[in-house]
Amino acid sequence: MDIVAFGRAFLGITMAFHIFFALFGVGIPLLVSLAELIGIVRKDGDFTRMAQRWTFAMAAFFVAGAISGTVLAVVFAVLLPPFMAIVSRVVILPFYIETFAFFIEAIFLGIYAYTWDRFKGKWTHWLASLPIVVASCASAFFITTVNAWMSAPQGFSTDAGGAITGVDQWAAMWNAAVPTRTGHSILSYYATTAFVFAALAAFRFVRKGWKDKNASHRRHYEKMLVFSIIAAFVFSLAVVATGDDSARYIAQHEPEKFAAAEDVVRTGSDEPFVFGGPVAVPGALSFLVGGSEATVVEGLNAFDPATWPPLGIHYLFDVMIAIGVLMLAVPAAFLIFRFVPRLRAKHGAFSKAMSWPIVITGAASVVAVEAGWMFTEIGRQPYTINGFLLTQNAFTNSHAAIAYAVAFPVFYAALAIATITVVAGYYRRNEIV
Amino acid sequence: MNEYVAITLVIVPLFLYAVLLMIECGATVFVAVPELLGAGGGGEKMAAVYIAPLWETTNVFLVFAFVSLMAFFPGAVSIWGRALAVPFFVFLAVMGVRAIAMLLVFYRKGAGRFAKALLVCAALASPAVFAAGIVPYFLTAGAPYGGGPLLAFCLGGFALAATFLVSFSFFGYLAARRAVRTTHSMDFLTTFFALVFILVVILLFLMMPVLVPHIAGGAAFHASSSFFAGLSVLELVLLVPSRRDRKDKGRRFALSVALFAAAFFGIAFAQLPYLVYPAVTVMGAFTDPATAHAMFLVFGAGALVTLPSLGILYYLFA
Repeated sequence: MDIVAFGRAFLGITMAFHIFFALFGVGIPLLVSLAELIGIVRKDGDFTRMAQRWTFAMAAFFVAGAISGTVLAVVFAVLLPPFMAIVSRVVILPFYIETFAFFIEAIFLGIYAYTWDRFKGKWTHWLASLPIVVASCASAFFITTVNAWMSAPQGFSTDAGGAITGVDQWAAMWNAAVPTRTGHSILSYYATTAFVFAALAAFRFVRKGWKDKNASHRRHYEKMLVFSIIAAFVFSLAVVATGDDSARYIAQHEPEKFAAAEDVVRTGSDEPFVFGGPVAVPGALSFLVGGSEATVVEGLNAFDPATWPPLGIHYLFDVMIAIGVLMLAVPAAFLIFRFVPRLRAKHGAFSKAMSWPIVITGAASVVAVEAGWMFTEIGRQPYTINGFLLTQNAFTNSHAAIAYAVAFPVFYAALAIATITVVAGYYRRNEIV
Repeated sequence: MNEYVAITLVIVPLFLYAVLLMIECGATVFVAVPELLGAGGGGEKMAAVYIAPLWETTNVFLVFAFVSLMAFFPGAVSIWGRALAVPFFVFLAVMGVRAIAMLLVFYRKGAGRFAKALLVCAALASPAVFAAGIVPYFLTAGAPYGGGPLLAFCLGGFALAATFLVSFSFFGYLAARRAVRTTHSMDFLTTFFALVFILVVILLFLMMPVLVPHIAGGAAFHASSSFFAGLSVLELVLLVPSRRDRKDKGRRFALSVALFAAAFFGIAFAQLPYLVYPAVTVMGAFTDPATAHAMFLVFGAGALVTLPSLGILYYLFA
């Protein structure tokens, strides 16, 4: 395997692990804060306990996310020095701002997690959660602006010799891809976290059924499921809306990627929306892109094949869409079963038949986030910085670096196993009282 | 001028990281081997209560220093990014092992001996690996000095001795503040490691003209040597017959940090104007003026929010 192929595979693995940790690091604080708020406002001890219990997962995933993020940053610096040299010259400002957000998140996480019994007023403790929510969202936002810049590089120019000049860090940070990219990814983290929490609660009903002998446990998991699924539904609606915007942005600004994603071979109007392979809705793609069936969609034939991304991204795109549909349909069904009185009387919302789809959707939502990032990264190939730096020119030529890099997927796997072991062990030992 | 302000914004967070990391490494050793601090006397709990809410913040100092270096001195990124690939990987692997061991020891009841041994090894190795593996590159890259392994050994020993001194003096102070009985005399241990540290630094400084001549010739190095000598005398003469009150132990900790600071800043500032000797200077690698102003603006705004937050955190837990 040559260096570039190895490097791509290596970065793919590290990114996949980091996103797994990072998405929970962003999503859990919001749910913890909301749960504690509901507990205070409604004087409901179940929600307060929920927030207390989730705090441990929040801290563990923050730690894991921080470690994997630091490793990722250094991995970029040592494996892609030409790329990092450009980033550090043109778009380092978001990283710099992000470190302050990272500080605030770490500081208040320490304060929040270890002061449950320290303050007299409940509101004081809840207030400590707000900086975590804001800072974790800000961290994700600023890091994603850099990724967006890789797709829509701006804020610099080059002289005749190819050297970078006229750098404007603010323009680079607020690049054209920021609104769609950041909104879609952050909302998907919230939706996914809520789904995973809902899946954990639903799994309880799968294992023990609705007639759990322990009434306090049952009540706790019922509330957890309803709360999480409402949050998941709201955020999923937002994810679908921003996903639509994001697709339209790609159609306009990264047409090669869009053509590969939608499997559009020839440029034309009245393009069908193709899902998977056999399902095709005539004219739907043109309509989705431009609001009319007459909209012309550029096909792969309009571009030099050397600039085509791997065509397999079409399936990644379809995976996202399929799971997106699931993320709307399943909570909608749950809410109907939960709030329509006749169905509720039969405990339909907490039945095994309803709980299994929630469990599956919870796992699938993580797959959707992973597929989304793979789509973004693979879809930008052959470039690391769209139209400016080819991936083959972005990698180090140091074989020593590559040799040592092999250890890091092993390290990431160990980190994932340790984190999951610790979190699962904690919840096994600390059942609801 | 801007270049020197910027390099200070890299070096100072790195110094803070070093001090906090050394305290934490000591704390992790005390948690893993409670007999050192006071099994049954609350020493283990004291170390655990200190480290649990704070260690995540400590790591951010390293990230901050790393990003600041990239932000203010992009001209050097590709150079040290290539050259330091292997040392960085080793350092990160040690830090990663430490983090995993911490997760297992702190948050999982009944952690085995293996996890604790791993934690102790990784905790003691992390400052030493950083000092021995990464710092020498900045000091001697491309310079025909020779003595690379010897310099690495000396800097690693320096970091290890500083770790013991700073962590013992800090936990001696914390134990006095919280009225925790310790198994061993923390005064004795602090004094012992102060002597070791002073000896190590004297040896390091004496070898500097051979190992890193450009540092030994720097005015900052001479100033720091004098300052260090003064502090050492103060440490040896004034504080060895230590009183046992809280304020005295606080002074002792402050003096330990000052000893470390004298050596750290002496070497760091004597290195200037070089960032990576002799290939890169801070002026040559510095970013463009517009970017620098944006960074300074962000630093000012960020510090306004971050510093009070750090104050609250350490007020609550340290």
